[in-house]
Formats: sequence, structure tokens, C-alpha cells
Amino acid sequence: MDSNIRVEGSTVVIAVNPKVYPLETVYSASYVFLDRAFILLDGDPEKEVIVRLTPRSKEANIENFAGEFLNELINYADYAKRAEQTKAIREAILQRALLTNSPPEKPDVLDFSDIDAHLDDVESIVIPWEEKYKKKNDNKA
Amino acid sequence: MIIRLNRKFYSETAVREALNDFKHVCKGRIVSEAMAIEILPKDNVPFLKEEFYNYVLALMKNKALV
Repeated sequence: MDSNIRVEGSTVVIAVNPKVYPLETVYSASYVFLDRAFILLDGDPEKEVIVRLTPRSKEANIENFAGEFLNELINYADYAKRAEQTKAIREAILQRALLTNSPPEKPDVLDFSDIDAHLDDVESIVIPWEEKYKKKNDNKA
Repeated sequence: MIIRLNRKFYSETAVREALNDFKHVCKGRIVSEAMAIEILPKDNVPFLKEEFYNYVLALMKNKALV
């Protein structure tokens, strides 16, 4: 087995170089195993991180666990690197999306200032109701 | 039972929160600056200290996501 992996009873102890895998990557890889193993982190975040994995199931192959953990380390290290590389474009997309959906500076309010213009009797054809019907009623009376 | 969590990896806030959440199954307190935690199980709970380790880690994960 690799020199940075050793088995102690039902526990596998993995030594991780924090210069290769940052602490956040070690945390992320550990979180993946929370439901399948008991995890204890120890060591020095500057020099060597010690991860102690004890599978919950007695039937689990602990050497496979160690291999899976190392794979997760690579997975999350790559994820962190890609996230850093694409940070600017993700921020630009998010900013664009927020600006697209932001409300207008002034709320849309109906403008009634020129409503009287529609009532202007330009051709003098509008006759008040009282004026038009009063005469007829008066004639009948 | 005394367990030790490395302060460089585990936040004290998460440990305190975990102790509070575990109060129905055990009594616990932080006894030293190096985060030695004394856990006194109320019943015979299997893997209590290991579950405690995982719980603290899970709390830190949730904090990181917020």
C-alpha cells in the first residue's frame, strides 16, 4: 500500500499533503464520506493533514475506501481549480442575469396628463346631453 | 470519555453546537484550549464519539454552504 496510507485495525489513516490538496479540498472530500464512514481530521494544515476513516459497515473494504478518498481529493481539487478559472465568467453571467431582471428605475405609472386632449371637440360635433334632449322634452310638454 | 478535536480543523462554535444537540444522549464540555472534550454518555450509545466527530464536521459543512 502507498506510504501515505496505512491501516490501523478497522481504520485507514491517510496522510495528505496540504500543498497539493488545499484544506478546503480535504474538507469537501471528507463530506462525501460522512454517511459511510467516521472521519477524524488531525495533523497540521500547513504541513500534513491526517485523515482517519473508519467505515460504518464492517464488510467495507478499507483499502478501497482509501482509494475512493484519494479520488475524491483529485475530484475536488480539480473542481476548485476550474471554479477559480471560470470565476470571472460566472460572475459576469450572474451580473447580466441580475441586471436583466432588475426592476426599472421609475415605476410604470399611467400618465393622465394629456387625457383632456382626447376630449377636445376639434370639429365642434360634441353636444352636451342636457342641451340635446332638453329641447325635445320641452317640445313634448 | 475524553476526545480531542484539533482546533486547526474544527471550529469551536460547531463543537459547542454539537454538544448542545447531543445533550439528550450525553453531557459534554470543552475542558481545555486544545479542545479536549469530555463526553459522559447517558446510555450505552454505540459509536458515540465517532458520531460526534461526524456531526461536528457536518455542522461545519452546513455553515460553509450558507
